[in-house]
Amino acid sequence: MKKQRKIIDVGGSSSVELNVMPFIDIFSLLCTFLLFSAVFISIGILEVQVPFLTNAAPPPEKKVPKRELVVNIHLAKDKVTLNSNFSQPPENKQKEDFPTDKKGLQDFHEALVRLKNDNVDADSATLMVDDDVVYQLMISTLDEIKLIVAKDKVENSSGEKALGKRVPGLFPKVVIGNVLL
Amino acid sequence: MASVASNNGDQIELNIMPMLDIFSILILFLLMSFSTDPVNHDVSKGLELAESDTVQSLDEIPVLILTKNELLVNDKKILDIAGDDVDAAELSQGAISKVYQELLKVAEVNKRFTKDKSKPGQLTMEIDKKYSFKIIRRLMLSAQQAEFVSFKLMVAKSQS
Repeated sequence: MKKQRKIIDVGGSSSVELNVMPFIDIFSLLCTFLLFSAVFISIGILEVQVPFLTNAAPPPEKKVPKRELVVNIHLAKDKVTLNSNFSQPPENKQKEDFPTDKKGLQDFHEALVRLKNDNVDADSATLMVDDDVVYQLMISTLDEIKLIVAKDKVENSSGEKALGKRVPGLFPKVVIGNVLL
Repeated sequence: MASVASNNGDQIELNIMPMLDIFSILILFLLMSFSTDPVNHDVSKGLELAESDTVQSLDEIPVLILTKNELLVNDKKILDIAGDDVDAAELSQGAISKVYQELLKVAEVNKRFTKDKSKPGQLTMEIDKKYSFKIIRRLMLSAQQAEFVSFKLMVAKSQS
């Protein structure tokens, strides 16, 4: 039985007791609703592309071909190889290998940051993945290719700087190069 | 305060203030984890997502789901998966024919409702983290043949 507000008259003064039962009713209903709708695993996405042929007309050829950075990454079970070169001479071919442990992937990420700092307009990379590579390793590698953090001291392509969290901006366009017939 | 009467007529009062404290803290915690994302999808049973540091949120329900022992397209079971790869009988030029057939239907429906028909198709995939790239390549190849060339891989955002 709900208790009504009780006024106690003691020698001329009065004290009022607060009825907290409605609070409890509201709190329990709110708790029930929030428990049913709570999402305890936050879900995100990583975007990748595969090579494709199109029937669209090719773009008109430019008189002076642009010298662009080409980044190719080969991911094997125990190492990741970073190859970079320019599309026009001088090509400046470079190749670096990194192990696929945590330290190796961090070094791989720092090498990508150095590449990006030297070539701010470059925003795509081709990733070739061996068949025996575990999916989690592929996702971790994609994180290192696509995302930047504040300590990287690099601006992403849109000019924004990361603020503590990892944000897209290193090489956001990744093509899985070995998905071919 | 709530109260009950005892046998000798004294009233025993129950202190419910600590309960209110607990409720308020519980509600604060649940409000912080409450999601207002337009897309709300529970992770499929029999599947553990790979962890990632990405900040991009899920924006469409996954079409292709690869759990530890099943392959589903639009919640319809296509194949049973034993081990790390598909039976050789289900393959055609490296792609999975049943997946290709189902994704063709999905692509036709998408084309009917998409304004820009020249834009390549996008597919959201939910894959268990234990698989090797071999079966994922087969899925991407099947989807590529059905004109899906851009993929959104569902991952669990890591808390760090």
